[in-house]
Order: sequence, then C-alpha cells, then structure tokens
Amino acid sequence: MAASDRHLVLTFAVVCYRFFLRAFPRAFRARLGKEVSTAFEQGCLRSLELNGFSGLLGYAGRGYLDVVREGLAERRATRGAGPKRSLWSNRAPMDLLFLDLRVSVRTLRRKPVFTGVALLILALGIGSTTAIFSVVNGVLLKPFPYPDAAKLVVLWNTNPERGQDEFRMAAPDFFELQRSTSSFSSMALAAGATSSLPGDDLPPIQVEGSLVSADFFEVLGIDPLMGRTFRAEENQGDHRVVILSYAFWAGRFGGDPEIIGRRIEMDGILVEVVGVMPRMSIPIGGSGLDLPGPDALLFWRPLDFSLDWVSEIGAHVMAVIARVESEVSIFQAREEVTAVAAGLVEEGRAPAGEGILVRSFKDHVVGDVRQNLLVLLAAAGLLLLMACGNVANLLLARAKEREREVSVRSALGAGRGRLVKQILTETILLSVGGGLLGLGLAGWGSGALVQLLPSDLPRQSEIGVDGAVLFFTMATAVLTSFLAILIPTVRLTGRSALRGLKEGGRGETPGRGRNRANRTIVVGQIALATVLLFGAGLLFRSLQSLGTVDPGFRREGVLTAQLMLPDSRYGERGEVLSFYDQLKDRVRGLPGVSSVAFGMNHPMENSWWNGIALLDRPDPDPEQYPTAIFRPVSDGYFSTMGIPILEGRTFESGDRFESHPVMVVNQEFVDRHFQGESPLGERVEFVVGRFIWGEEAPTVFEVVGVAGDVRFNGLRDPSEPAFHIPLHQFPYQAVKLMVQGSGDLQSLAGLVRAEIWALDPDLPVTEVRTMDQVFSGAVAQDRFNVILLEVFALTALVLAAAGIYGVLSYTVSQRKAELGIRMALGAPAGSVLGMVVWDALTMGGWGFLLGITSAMFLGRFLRSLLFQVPILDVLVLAGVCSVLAAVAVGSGLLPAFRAARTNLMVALRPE
Amino acid sequence: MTRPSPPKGTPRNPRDFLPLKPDVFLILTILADGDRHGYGIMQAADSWGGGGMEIQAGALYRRLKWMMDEGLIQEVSSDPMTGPAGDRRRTYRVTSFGRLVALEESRRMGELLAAAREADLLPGTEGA
Repeated sequence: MAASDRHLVLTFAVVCYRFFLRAFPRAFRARLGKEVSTAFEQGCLRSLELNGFSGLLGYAGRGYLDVVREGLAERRATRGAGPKRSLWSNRAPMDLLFLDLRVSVRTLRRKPVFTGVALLILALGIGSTTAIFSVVNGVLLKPFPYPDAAKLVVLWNTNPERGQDEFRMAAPDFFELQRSTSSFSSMALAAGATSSLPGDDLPPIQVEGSLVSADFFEVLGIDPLMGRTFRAEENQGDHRVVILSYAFWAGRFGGDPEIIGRRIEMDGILVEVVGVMPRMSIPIGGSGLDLPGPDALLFWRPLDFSLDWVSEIGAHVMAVIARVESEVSIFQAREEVTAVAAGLVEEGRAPAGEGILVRSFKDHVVGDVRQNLLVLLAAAGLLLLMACGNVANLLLARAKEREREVSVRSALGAGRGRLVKQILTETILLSVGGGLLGLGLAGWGSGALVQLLPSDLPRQSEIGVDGAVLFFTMATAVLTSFLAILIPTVRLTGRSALRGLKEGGRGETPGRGRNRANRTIVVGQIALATVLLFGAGLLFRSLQSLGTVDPGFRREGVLTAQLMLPDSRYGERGEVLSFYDQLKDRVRGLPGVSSVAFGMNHPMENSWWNGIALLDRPDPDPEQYPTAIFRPVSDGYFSTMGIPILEGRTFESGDRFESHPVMVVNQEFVDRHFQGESPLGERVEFVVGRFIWGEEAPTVFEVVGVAGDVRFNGLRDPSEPAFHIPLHQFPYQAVKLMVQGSGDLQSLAGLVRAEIWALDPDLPVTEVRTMDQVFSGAVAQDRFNVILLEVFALTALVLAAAGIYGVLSYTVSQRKAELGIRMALGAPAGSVLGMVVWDALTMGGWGFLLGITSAMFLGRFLRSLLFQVPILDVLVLAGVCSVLAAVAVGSGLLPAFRAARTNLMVALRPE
Repeated sequence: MTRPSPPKGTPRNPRDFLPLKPDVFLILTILADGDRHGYGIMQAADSWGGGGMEIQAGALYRRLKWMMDEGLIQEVSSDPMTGPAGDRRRTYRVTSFGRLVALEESRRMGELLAAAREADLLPGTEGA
C-alpha cells in the first residue's frame, strides 16, 4: 500500500473512532478522550505494519465495538452520579444527540411501513456487498499464516515462443539457481505425490502429499506442532520418514499424542512419523503448487535427489518455492533469475526461448481469481448504490410530507443545523439498523456463497465474518446514510420557511419540476440496473459460448475413477498390467458397460510436458528439441472417450510391453512438429520409461495414428500438442479408469467399485465422477459469475421498478386534480394512460442511455472474464433494452390505470 | 465498576477488591514493573506471555480511570515523549495501595493454582 493510501485509511479509521468515542460521557472524554484516540491510532499503525491492510481493518473493527461497549457501560455506571440538569438549561451536544435519537426512534416507529421498507432495502444492499466482501477479504486480503509471507515467491519455467505460459521446473535447473543466485535466503523443491493407506477397520484411502527438499518448511517459516522437519541427509537415499498434516493426524490417528516415532503403512511400506504440522493451510506439490485448506489430509516426505527421474534434465515435475532476502525486492530477484535462465539456454541445458518466472506466492495462489472477485464486488457495490437511491427516494417522499412541519419548526427558530442533525440521526439509525440486518444476511449469505463457490477457488476456509468484515459493514452503513441523505437534506433545509408553509397549504398543483430530484434518482437507478443487466447478459452469453465449445471427447455416459496401485504389491510391471487386464475384463462384463479403458489422465486433466526427439526429421537447432504433453493410455481409450482417429490406427490389445513400440499423436502435434504432413511411420524418441522400468523399456516409438484434438486445460485454452503411448508400454501405477455405460452411472459406480475391491480389497478408489461432472467443474467459475450477477441484476431490476412505481404513483396522486379536469374536458382515458406510461418510458430511456454508456466504459474490466463474446454484443444490447422497456411499462401501468380512472369530483373533493 | 469509593480517610482493605478483573490485574502487573503510558500498557499486554492479550483503548482507559478513582494507580508527570499528534502523554504509576491489592490477588491466585496442582490439572508438575 502506498504511503498516501496508508495515511488516508488510517485517518478515516481514526475519524470513525472519534465518532464512536462519543458513546463515552462528556466528562470522561474531556479528561481522557484525546489519549484514548491516540492510543487507538498507535494500535492501528502497529497492526498495519505487522499484518497489513486487513490487520488494520480487523483491529479497527474490534476497536469500534470496544469503544461503543465500554462507553455505554461507563454511561450506565456514572448515571445519576452528577448533579441533575434542568430540562431547560443549556443542553450538552451529547444530550441533544440522545434527544435526537429518542425523537428519531419515535418518528420511525410511527411509520412502520416506511421504516420496514427502508430497512429491508438497506439490508439487501449492505448484506449483499458485505457477503461478497467477506469472500474478497478471505481470499484476497487476509495475510497468509506464514511469517513475512510477502517475501515468498514461486518459480516457474516459461516458454512464450512455444505458447507455454508457465510449467514446472526440472530439479537440475533448481540446483543451478541455488548455486548461482544470492537473492533468496532459502529455496525448496516440491513434487506432487499421492499415497494409499490400507483399510484396517477404516476404508482404504488415498492421501495427497508432496515430496519435498529438506528446507521446504524453513522457506515457509513454519515450525512443526510436534516432532521435527526433515534433515538435509534425508534427501539422499530412501529414508522412510513422513510428516503429517494436523487433520491427517487428528482424523486418521485420533490425535495420538505418541504419534512421533510410530510407524504407519503407506503404499505397503512402513514409514516413521517424524513430525506433525500445525492446523493451517500448507502447500503441497500437486499439479503445480497447490494450497489445500487447513482440514485437508496431507503428508510430506523427503524427495530422494539420487533418483534418476529427479536428476533428469528434461523432467519438468518440480514446483519451486523460495524466500527472497529481506533487503532484496522481488523485482531484483526476478532480474537475477532471468540472467541465470539465459545462461542455461546459452549452455544448451535448456531449449531456446525458455525462461524462469518469479511470481509472488500470493499472486500464484489467488492471481487467477482476483479480477473475477473484484468484478463481483463492484457489481455488489452498484447494487448498494441502487439501494441508496431507493432510500433517498423514500426519504424525499417523507421530506415532502414533513415540509410543513419543518417549516413550522424553522419559523419557530430551530436552526438549520438542528434540522439537518435530526434528519441525519434518523438516517444513521436506519443505516445502522440496515447494516446490522445486512450483517446477519451476509453471515447467512456468505455461508450460501461458499456452497455455491467453484470448488477450485483457493482459500475458501478463510471466508467468514471477522473484524475486517465488521469494519467494512460499519463503514458501508455510514457511507450509505450520507449518500442517501444528501439530496433530501439539501431540499428540506435550503428553502425558506415561508415557501414551505405556502406550499404545504392548499390550491397548488405541482408541476413536473417539483419532483425532479426523485426522477433524477430513478434515472440513475435505471442506469445502474442497466450496467448490471448488461454485465450479467455478457457473462451469460460467454457461458453459452463456452457450452458450445467442442471439448473433443464424449461427455455423456462416461464414468471415471482414480486408482493408485501401491509399489509394495505392484512393484513389477507384470503385476500392474495383469491387474489392469483383469479389472478391464471384469468391468466389461457388468450390465450396460460398452467399453472400458485406462489412462494416466482423463481428457480434461492436465498432465506433464516432456521433451522428445523426431528421429526421421533433420535435427532442428540442437537446443530446440520439441516438447509435447505426454499421455499413456490403454487400448479402447479413444473409443471410450469418443475421440476420433483421423488417420492410421488406434491402440490394440496386441500392443504389449515387448511388442513394437507405437504412438498416436494428436492433430495439434502434427501441425506443430510435422508441419501438417502425415506423420505415419515417423519415429519419435521418448526416454522417460527407461528411468522407471529399466533398460528394456521402449524408447523409440513409431507413429501409427493421428487422433482428434482435446482441450486438456479447460475449455478456454486451445489444444496443445500431445502424444499417446500404450499403457502396456508405460505401465504407470496411478491411472484413471474410464467406463462407458448406459443407464444410471451412479449405480454403475457402485458395481465398478465392488469389482475393484473383489480384486484388491485394500485399493483406494477416489475421484469417482462422471465426465459430465468433470466438464461442469471446468465451467464452475463462469457459472458462479453468471448466477451471482443474475441475482444482482434481478434485484436491481426490482429496485428500479420500485423506484419508477414510487415516482409515478406520487406524481399521479399530486396531479389528481389536473388529470380529473383533463378528463372532464373530454380527454380519453387512453391518452391519460399513455401519458403516464410515456413518462415511465422516458425515465427508462434516459436511464438506459446513461447506463449503456457507462457499461461500454466498464466493459473492459469484464473482458478477461468473457469468452468469444464482444463487449458490444447486439443480442445482449437488444435483450437489456427490451427487459428495461418491459419493466418501465410494467411498473408504470398501475399508476397509469389509477390515473385513467380519475374522477373529477373525487379528485377535487379533498381540496 | 459501580463500587462506591469510601469517604477519604477511611482505611480500606485490599481484599475488598478481590477477585480482580483479569485486565485490571494485568495492568497492575505491568505497572508494577515500571511506569508506563497508556499505549505502552497496551503494547506490554500484547507481548505478554501465553500469546498476548489484546486490550483495546476504550477498555484500557476506562479501567485506568476506575483504578485512579480507587487509588490503585496514580498519574505521574507527563511523558516527555510526545504522541503522534504532538501532544504529551500521561504516565501511570502503581500506588502502594495498588501494589498491596495486586499482592493479595497474586496470593489468591497462588492458592488456586496450588489446588489445581493438587488435583493433577497442571501437567508436567509434581503434585504438591
């Protein structure tokens, strides 16, 4: 935060505090008030320095609650202690404030409908804004629970020339960085890992975890709750030790206080528990560097540096996390790392164009959702503005009713300041009431929001109502009351008493100019509703066009599940392959199953990139070796997933470990690496299998087929070049089972599970999902945006409709006499009806124009969330326009009918 | 807080104040270590053993006022250091009566603690 921003926020916090300090009796404030607010200011400053902006918000929120609570308690304690003051003596400002409060409460209670509606509108506006803010606060603002978390960075490889934004690093590059940089005080490696625990009395489970270098926890700055972290020597050789997450320890081992030193079975081998981590979010290797919540079952084991796959130059499977030296900026660290990366390319140890990215840890975790959440917060803010408009309109209507009263009071000598204060007190009371209701609504709403949130939204466990949210709500309530009161106050107090008394009397027919203020507010509201509708419309269209993207595979009728065969029982490739073959036969025999396949990943799942060599092509630049996504799959994979074979053949059951090595590439691979020429018969070298299954593993594969492209990274990203090899020629132990079946897939899932456990009762079966669910997960964030924005837009429409209705009803009731005379003189009912409806349409039209202009300007903030939808989408524009017209006409009809039924005698009678 | 203070000159029994509210006891303990101004007390409380204890300004000054009224602490000359707004800050000192009250409270708590130890509620210590 910039120094000026800090100063501004701090000043605002202290000004609010001084306001709340008025809860203390006057004598107390005179004696100690200044010191109290000084101490609060210093506390704020310290919180800001220690825990940043959100720390300050939390501290201030608690401070406000404290000062109001203590002030009121002090007031109670000292009541009756001092001399009684006469009712007519000079009143202290605080007593006047309490007088105002009493009068306001009485006035509000006398008008229950007005009070109820105003409270409801405020609660809706403040509640929805607070609910979204609680998400923004939890995900974006709260600091990470690690000391000096701002110094944590994550390092990635990048190769923009090949369209690879960021991918994992290889261990040798990490060691080079560790040797030749000085910007980092510590750095660590983490690779993803999963492990299965056998079921003794509990069902077998699969646990996510990470293989890490010894200083992983030192980089994060976390001390274990019990036991120790890893030692450097444990990164050399097979050390069977493990550190557990708090939830793992508490959930699976019942919080055993004697856990340290105990041996537990993981993947069929016994490993010794050496540490338990405290209950907090701690990253694991995962698919990049994931941050599961504090209640995830996780483990960490030391990474064995002496393994071949770790020291392989092209194996980009490592996440790198580092802590920047305290006096070095991330920018400086980035410069140093860039220089090292250039050196690696120069020495031929990395392909041309490959660089290393340094991203802050926070940016890595929440960077992708920041824009999204801020757009939603802005939308909620617009809704709050609309609520302000409605309340302002209500207050205006009340103000008009009270003009006479106010005029009498000011004629009797009440100063303008007193009048303003009275109205202000009323509004603040309403806002605080609305704020409290809104807070309740937000507490409930943020719970509902969490249910609705896409499951991959980071840091969900942090979402909730805390001091920062409290501060936000209070500040919002205060701001709302100021905004809502602006126009009514100016209007009420800026007039002479004489005019008010005159107007309050009889005989005047108000013209259109008289409620210009109301109309202006309504036009503003329609403009805001237009912006929200427009945004919701664009996001909806974007979701629609995402739905039309061909993912390249079959969505319906496919069930997938994750299997992981532990090394202890499936160490030999023969054991692995025979398990797959047996399971395939059993599952294929189930009723309704038409085909079964295995693959390291299902089609909508990211997997690793690997270097390859095209043996029949002239060598490119020696540094320019090609890379592609690598996917071992069984025979039947392409037909099960409905991926078309465009050329050549698919894998067959005859493609075994010892038979001729074959490969099927995708169309993108052909376009990228074979310039679109037919690749059949070409030989491709891929050596990773040798590191896992030894010398006899195949390394040179012949391309026998070309498959259609699949969107591996979600629907928004284009296809990437990929090659498939038969699972029999790369017998990987962690696979996805894919079953194509008809009928109810959920009951099929039960049958499949039973077949797996019939073969191996200790094998965990996880991530059982239909491909349809996987596909829905890929658009969950987009759907969340649309649902939320649609709810906002709908609420905005209701508020706008209420605004139009209110203004027209008021106008019609004020013009009763004029309308009655018109009709008595022969104006047809239709023309009176048309006049009022036209009035509604005019307001709608101006609001639409104003709104659409602002929406065009604001549209660019939405652009990154949109998929293949232009900002100026004609369909959306037409839709918004017709919805608004319908709402304007609809909310104008009722007052219009009332106008058309005006009877001259009835209209003139009250006069 | 509504306890009426006795007329001047009446001898008072420190035991009348027991049990002390935890934050009052903490403030007495902090001041027994040396004179401090208000924010200094907040800071000391914050870094107090066992994870610290946040005392907010409103609560702190209300206690300080009560403690002054009851004669447990007194205000000494203004701190030569100035606050952020350039104003001089008051410094507080525990009175001998306040010290006596704190002593009695400590004794009371010591007895409680001994009872807890007796009942084996303090792991890592031997029963008395």
